[in-house]
Amino acid sequence: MKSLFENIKTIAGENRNVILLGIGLTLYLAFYFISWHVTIISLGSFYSVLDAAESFVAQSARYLVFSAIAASAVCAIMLFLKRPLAKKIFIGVLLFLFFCTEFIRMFDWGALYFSGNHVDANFWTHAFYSDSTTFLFTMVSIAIYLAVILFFFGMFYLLKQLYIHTGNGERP
Amino acid sequence: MKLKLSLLILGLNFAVVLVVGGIVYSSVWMGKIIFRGNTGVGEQAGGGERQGESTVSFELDKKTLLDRDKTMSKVDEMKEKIFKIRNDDPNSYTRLPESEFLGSLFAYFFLSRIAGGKEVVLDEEMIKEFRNKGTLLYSMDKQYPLMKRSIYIDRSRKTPNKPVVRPGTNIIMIFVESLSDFFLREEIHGIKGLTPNFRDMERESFRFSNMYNASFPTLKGLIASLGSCIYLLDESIGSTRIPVPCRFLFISDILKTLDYTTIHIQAGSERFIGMKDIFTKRQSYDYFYGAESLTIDNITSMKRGFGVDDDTLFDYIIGWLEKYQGSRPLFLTISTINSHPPFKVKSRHPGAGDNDMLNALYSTDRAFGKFWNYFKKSKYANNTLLLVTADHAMGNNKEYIKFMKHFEDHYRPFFDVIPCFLHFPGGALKGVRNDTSCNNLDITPTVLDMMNIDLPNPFMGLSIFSERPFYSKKGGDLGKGLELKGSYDQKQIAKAKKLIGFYINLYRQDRILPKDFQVKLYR
Repeated sequence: MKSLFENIKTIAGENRNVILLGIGLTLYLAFYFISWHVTIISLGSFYSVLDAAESFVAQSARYLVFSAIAASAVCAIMLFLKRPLAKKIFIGVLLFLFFCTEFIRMFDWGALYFSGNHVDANFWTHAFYSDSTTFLFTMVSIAIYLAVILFFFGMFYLLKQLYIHTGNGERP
Repeated sequence: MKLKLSLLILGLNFAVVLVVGGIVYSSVWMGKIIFRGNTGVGEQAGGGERQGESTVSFELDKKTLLDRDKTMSKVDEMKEKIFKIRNDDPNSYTRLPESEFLGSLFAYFFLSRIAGGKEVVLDEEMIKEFRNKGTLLYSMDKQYPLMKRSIYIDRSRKTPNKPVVRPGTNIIMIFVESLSDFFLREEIHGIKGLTPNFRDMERESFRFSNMYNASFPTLKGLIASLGSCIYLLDESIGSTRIPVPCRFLFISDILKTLDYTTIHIQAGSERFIGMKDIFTKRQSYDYFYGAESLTIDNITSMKRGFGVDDDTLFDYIIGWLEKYQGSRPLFLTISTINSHPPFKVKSRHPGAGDNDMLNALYSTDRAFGKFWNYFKKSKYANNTLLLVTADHAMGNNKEYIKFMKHFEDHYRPFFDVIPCFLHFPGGALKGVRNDTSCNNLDITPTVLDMMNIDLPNPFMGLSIFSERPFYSKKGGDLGKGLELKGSYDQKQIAKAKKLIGFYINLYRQDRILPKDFQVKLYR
């Protein structure tokens, strides 16, 4: 048992940055997912988080578990990938997937805020009228774009740091 | 080494999320105790305190309506209540957005094509209630419940005692912005000469003296008058109203098959809610001119508010009519704008003081006067039915409130009696008055009845001459204007939700008229 702790201590000491980045990535993903719900309930509805307490707590738990697994998987894959190009492609795929969720969440947040419903059949019915594009230029929409950009660069920064610290000390 | 490190990260991540999860749970739990007095997160189930609410009540009386700030506060309160009735599920905000987005995308582009969308079907009891009020549902087609075989509920009720308009007669309909009939009653409000030209036309015409507007605002008013249909959708995205998603049967569609040239001229923008597209692509209008076209003649007329002023509008119309040399009969509809807030004041009436609403009405009357004087002497006077009405009654704007404080008995914002004057060719039936209680949904069926035209249709209105006596709309709250007081239990709310869902589904799914509908007149 003692040797196990010694072993962990050694690994943790040698890979402190990777471990911190893994935890950081978990927290970042969890914050990204959970804050979406908190902001839309607080800013875009007549309700408070307390009105949806049970489902909010359940959804948060799912997000937390997912974030922990996803962040750990990303760290493991980054550790096992040897070639810098493979790591870069992997980061590209991750950023693409992250942007996809941002894109979807951006529209769904806007749909909830402006019309009170999730993106639904009615949204798609009117999505392609040119007159409907006006909603893309409101102050709220601009705030959403800013949030999307900030989250994206936050993710990019974390993955870049992982790339640096899992690449045998070589800087990209 | 790498495997051990990966497992270590996984273990630490789970330790961290356990801590964070604990913080989230305890924050919510604490919040419940502090703000709600509950001790368990699991007690909410769709908003704990609302579970005790079995009724929804609201009150909007004249006293409140006469105070704009109080009215807005009440309206906000009502909106919140209606929103909660409609979306009474705070849990909907915790659903997974990716799943909602992709699910709806898939459903819209694939499933809805197969299943035809979610449909609300009314039960027998509700259908019977409608039938007793003169609305026939599901009589032709289950997919298009408004469709019925005739403009009459019972074709044997056609009456010979009605004015007759020969098909081929030109028809001009003028929809004056927000013109409540009250403004023409100078013997009541006391401002002599506020609307002399409308009053002159009233004297020279046949008049429906008890017509209410069925819809508000302008576009819905036009749909009610031209398509005999109440349009309920009022969806907006970022304060921009989205275009109307369905097709109606306008009188223009019917007259088009009788070889009429159809034209709409309005002082407002052509692009607003896609109006030009709606009229020209769906409702058989040959020409549509709005502010963009009219501005070419007079750029300064765009000053203040949206659209051009009514002087420019009527000048344009007179010019257009003068130039029109076509051999086909004409169906011309016109919408004015001066009396829409912010008001366009071109002329001031000494008795109106600084009230912009009254001065804007006076300005519209003067602009109409130019047209009216032209019309009476023009080649159109003896072969044209000229109908003047309003798109709807005056809204509850500050100027209206200020003026109506002196006439509280007549204070009916949004829904009120509107003028409806018909100048028949050659001035026939001049001065005749029809006091039947009716609304502007009845305009199109009545004009068709006078022209002896009948066809399958989705109209909600009935001919005032033929069907009205069987389905009187007298009584109820019609004459009170907008004064809402009520308390509704869950059963009534469920019924209302079903009814609203029924109509909204018709509009959203474009099920007013069958896709392959073609106007076929009975001979």
